[in-house]
Amino acid sequence: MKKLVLFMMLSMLIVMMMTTIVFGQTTTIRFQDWRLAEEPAGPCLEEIVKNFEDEYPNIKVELDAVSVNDKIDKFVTQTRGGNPPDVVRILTTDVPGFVDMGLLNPLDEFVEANGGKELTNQYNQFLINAMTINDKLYGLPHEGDALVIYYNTEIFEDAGLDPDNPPETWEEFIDASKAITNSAENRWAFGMLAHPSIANIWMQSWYLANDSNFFNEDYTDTLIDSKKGIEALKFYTELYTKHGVIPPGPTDVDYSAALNLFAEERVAMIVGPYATYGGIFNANPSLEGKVKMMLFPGEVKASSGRGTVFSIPYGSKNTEAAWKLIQYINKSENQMKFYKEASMLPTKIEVFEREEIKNNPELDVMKEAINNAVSYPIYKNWNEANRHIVDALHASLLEIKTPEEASVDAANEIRKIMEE
Amino acid sequence: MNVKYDKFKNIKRNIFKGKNIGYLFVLPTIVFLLIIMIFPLGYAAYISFFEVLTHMEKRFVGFANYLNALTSISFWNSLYVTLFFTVISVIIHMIIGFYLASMLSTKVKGSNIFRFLLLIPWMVSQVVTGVIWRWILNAQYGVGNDILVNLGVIDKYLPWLAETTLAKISIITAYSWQCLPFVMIMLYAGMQTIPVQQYEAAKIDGASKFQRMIYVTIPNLKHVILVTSLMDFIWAFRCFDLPQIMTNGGPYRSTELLSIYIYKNTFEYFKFGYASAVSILMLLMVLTFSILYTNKMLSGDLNE
Repeated sequence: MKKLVLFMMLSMLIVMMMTTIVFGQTTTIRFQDWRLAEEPAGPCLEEIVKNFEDEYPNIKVELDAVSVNDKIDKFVTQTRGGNPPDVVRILTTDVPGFVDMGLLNPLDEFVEANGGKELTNQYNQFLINAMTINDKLYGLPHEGDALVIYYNTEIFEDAGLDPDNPPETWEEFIDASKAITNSAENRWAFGMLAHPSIANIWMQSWYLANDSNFFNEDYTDTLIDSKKGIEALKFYTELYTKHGVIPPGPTDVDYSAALNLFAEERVAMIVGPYATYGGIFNANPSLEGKVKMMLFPGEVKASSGRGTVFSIPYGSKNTEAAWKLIQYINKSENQMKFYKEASMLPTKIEVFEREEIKNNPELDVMKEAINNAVSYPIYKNWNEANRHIVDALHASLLEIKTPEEASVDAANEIRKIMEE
Repeated sequence: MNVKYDKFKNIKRNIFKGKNIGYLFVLPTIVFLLIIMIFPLGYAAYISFFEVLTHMEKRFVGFANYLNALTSISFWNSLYVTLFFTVISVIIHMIIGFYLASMLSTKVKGSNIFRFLLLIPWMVSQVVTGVIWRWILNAQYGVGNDILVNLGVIDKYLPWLAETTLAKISIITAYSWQCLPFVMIMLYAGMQTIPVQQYEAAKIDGASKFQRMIYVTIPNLKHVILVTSLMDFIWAFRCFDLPQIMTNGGPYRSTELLSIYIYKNTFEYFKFGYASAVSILMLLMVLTFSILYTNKMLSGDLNE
């Protein structure tokens, strides 16, 4: 009996020691992502991460569901403080600033070890190009698309417009907007987003559609005070100041406010990426079948291309495990899962070409928009320059300055930043 | 050796038995404060003389950040907005707070319930207050517009947070709603300490209600008013969460307080050195005002 007890105790001791050894080899990585805090993207990502942990039992992933408003503060503070997450989701527009601050690790070493060009060629090239800074790649795209205009076909019909032939020029857009707007009934044509936090990128597509942009191609000058640039701001702000087809107070309208206006059928058109499509029906399921997408009217069929990427911050001590997680979340089947469950379009070309997406007629316009997408500004001082663009927009909307004056003033300020 | 030992014993006795024992008791607090307050402050002052280039590098620039701030239109705009917000807020708090405190001092049935109800906004965080007021003042769905239209104050919905003047009024209103209870309760507490005999004597002398307020209540509350208004001024001057949530500094930077300006320079433009310099300037402004204000208010006492 004594021997049996001794044997059992020894066995338990050995098991405990072995368990300790196994646990000792476990690597814990922190994955910081604001999408984790969103519905339905959060649960979908959690499931993908859970599957990752099952496949790599020696890697444990700590989920850091940061709020969308705190994402930059938290990331910058933690990384500068020497306690960065191991994997972080970043908006493409934020990457150059982070690279300039030395907050991100280049991914080239991992990319080379996993096929080099063969790997990067799998992704939408406008996003890969945007993430390549000084010939180094700083982020692997996860989801991305382009902005389009969503419109309510029923409101179009009520206004005597043909929902199958949405406006293609600015003149047609103004005429259609006037036909839709009935301020007495609180019905408006277009839900303009001019809140300081988001105004700029929502406005860029109107510049692109007028064959202009905020910056020239190599970011050595701004184009907002060019003839085409001024025209774009004038057209955009006059929708409010002259034509009165926008609900009151656009400078306070952010993304969720615009979505609500559309869902409540107070506005007939809003701008958004693909996720807006799901957002509209989440907010008002009765709109199913009544919403279509159109390209931005204008001279050129172009709009802003947006996306988010995964990066490995400077100072991460688990870069190998971090890269494995990025690769896993970006697996074709997981990008497809994210598309189906979270309404986010994949960035891998192969996934985009699959039947479920290719043959989805709802996506025809979006696919055309992606094919003609021009990236959001990828410029290291974008946030600072952006403030002056927002100033120009607000000054014009509030009629403090004319669009010409506002554009010229903003351009002068941006040039000062560029000189610095 | 013996002399040294005696000296040590004396020090030990002084510390543990003498009047210096108090220092020992406050030592943990001093160490704690040094860690959480003095170090960050010192580091901010240090970094304000540098341009932070990348994650690890920085370049000494002397007073360049301070000069840049003092010659920047955005800085002066933010300072103006901050002063406007602070002064108007403090005046509103003091006037309405005084009125409410006087009302609460009257012994009426249910005044305890009113006291509790009036204190509720003070218990709510600035973030929550910001979100609540953002919805109340929404141009399309805001209950604020609905109430004002039904009362006949306005004839159509106003975009409260979307126009420069209205946005300023809106953040001051929301901030006052939240901070008024603190001023009210401080003044109310002060009023409870005023001897009733003084009011009775004034009444016998034929003083009206207004005269009793001017010649009895306010002089007795002088120190409470000094402390409360000073604290209120400092809090309003560095207010951040509420306006950030309500307006994000817009429209057209009309509500971009210095705190929001610093935040944007730090976390959006990554100008850590410049933002630190503005923070130090802000600290110096509050400090100077506090010293001047306290001296001015107390100089009357010394002359009396």
